[in-house]
Amino acid sequence: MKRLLKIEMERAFHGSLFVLAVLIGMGIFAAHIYQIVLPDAVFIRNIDWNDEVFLKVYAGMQLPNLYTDYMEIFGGSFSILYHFILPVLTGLPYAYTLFTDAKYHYMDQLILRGGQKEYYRAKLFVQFLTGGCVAVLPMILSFAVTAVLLPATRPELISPTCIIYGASVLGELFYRHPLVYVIMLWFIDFAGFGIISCLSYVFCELMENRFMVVLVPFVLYFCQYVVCSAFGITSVREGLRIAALRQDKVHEVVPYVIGMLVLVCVSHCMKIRKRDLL
Amino acid sequence: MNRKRVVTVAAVAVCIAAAFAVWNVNVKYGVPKKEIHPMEAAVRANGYEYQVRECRLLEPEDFPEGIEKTDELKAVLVVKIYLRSLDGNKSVSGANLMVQGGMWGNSMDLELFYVFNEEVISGGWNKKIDENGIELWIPFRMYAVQVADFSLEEMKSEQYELVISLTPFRSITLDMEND
Repeated sequence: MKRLLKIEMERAFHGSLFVLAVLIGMGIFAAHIYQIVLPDAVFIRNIDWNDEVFLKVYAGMQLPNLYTDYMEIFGGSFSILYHFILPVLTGLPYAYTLFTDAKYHYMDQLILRGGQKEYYRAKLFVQFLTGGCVAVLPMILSFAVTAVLLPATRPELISPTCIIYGASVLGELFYRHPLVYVIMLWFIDFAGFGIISCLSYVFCELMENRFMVVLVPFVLYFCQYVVCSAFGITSVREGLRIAALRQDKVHEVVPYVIGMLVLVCVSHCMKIRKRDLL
Repeated sequence: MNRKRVVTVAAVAVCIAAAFAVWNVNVKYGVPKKEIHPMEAAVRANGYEYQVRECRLLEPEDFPEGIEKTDELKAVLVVKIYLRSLDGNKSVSGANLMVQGGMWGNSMDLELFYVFNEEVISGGWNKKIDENGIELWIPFRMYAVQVADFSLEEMKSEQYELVISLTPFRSITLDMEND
């Protein structure tokens, strides 16, 4: 299992597609930093604390800071775009190997050497890990860049300048311990997009080319969003933008997560019990 | 030096520079001045004295004039603040003040009331006490949607947090128990 894992990890993380996926994510964050964070950084550097007019205009107002300007919390079009294309990005580095392994019989070699169960376990684990990393790495890097430009002042509910408010999921935690909130956001995104990227693993055998295997999570994610929007129900896409999610909508998102987990588990069990593989 | 070593050295250098930049930006522009005071303490800041004298939860029958009774409006939290100018030449109308109440747990989104100066008051009432001071009555309306699961008794036992913000980056939190 260890050897198989090592081989698969190398295929996933050492490929240029992994770098490309992270770079695309970073590009979106960079656009947000250029459009929102940089002007705010210039603004706070030019404040004249002796200017009475400024003090009057901004009395009681929260000045831009790391937590309110960080893209995941700030919201805005770039955040929506990032969450929209993430299912494609998460599948980009590794999902196609599920298809090519079977097509070029590389899978047979690995199963002969490591065992069928171990092969599929390694595949599923690495797919989950790749999806999570592609989703979260640009977030961590952009948070670091924002931290360099803006002070980490504790956000004040008194003057909310972001999409989180009282009724938001973990809203109280954000206003009391913002760093803990941000770290939790990364964990949730890691797990959420990790599971979504595993949908490629579930449907890989039904697809006829490698591009479709990569696109499966995005197609399902997008279709589900369109259907849910038509009926006014919270979709997975909205559910995974935790900062914008309201507490009373959580119960609408939980069944999707459980459903995806069940789907992945059932598919995995079926794959490892398949008899006519070799 | 091989390529791996160059990359490692560059990464370590970037990390050190970033850590210094984070420290620098927080020392220069961050660190808000925040003070916590008990109820009725006279807080002096920017040439003014602020004192929260009372904080009461009113039931619909006790709603003051100007607040319309509706089925949605469950209770009103009234905060009475005394504001006085310490400098005889300075008017209370020049005071910068913004107040917000917050109830944690069920909901913390109560109606916001900004009180920038005597002429521009977006909520509440004020009464002139003497030449230098005014008394502000600031009501926070609690709607059914915010406090649906709370009975009035439970609401009374809740801990409230009142934040008075005086200038950007500076605020005073009054640690008080709802009476």
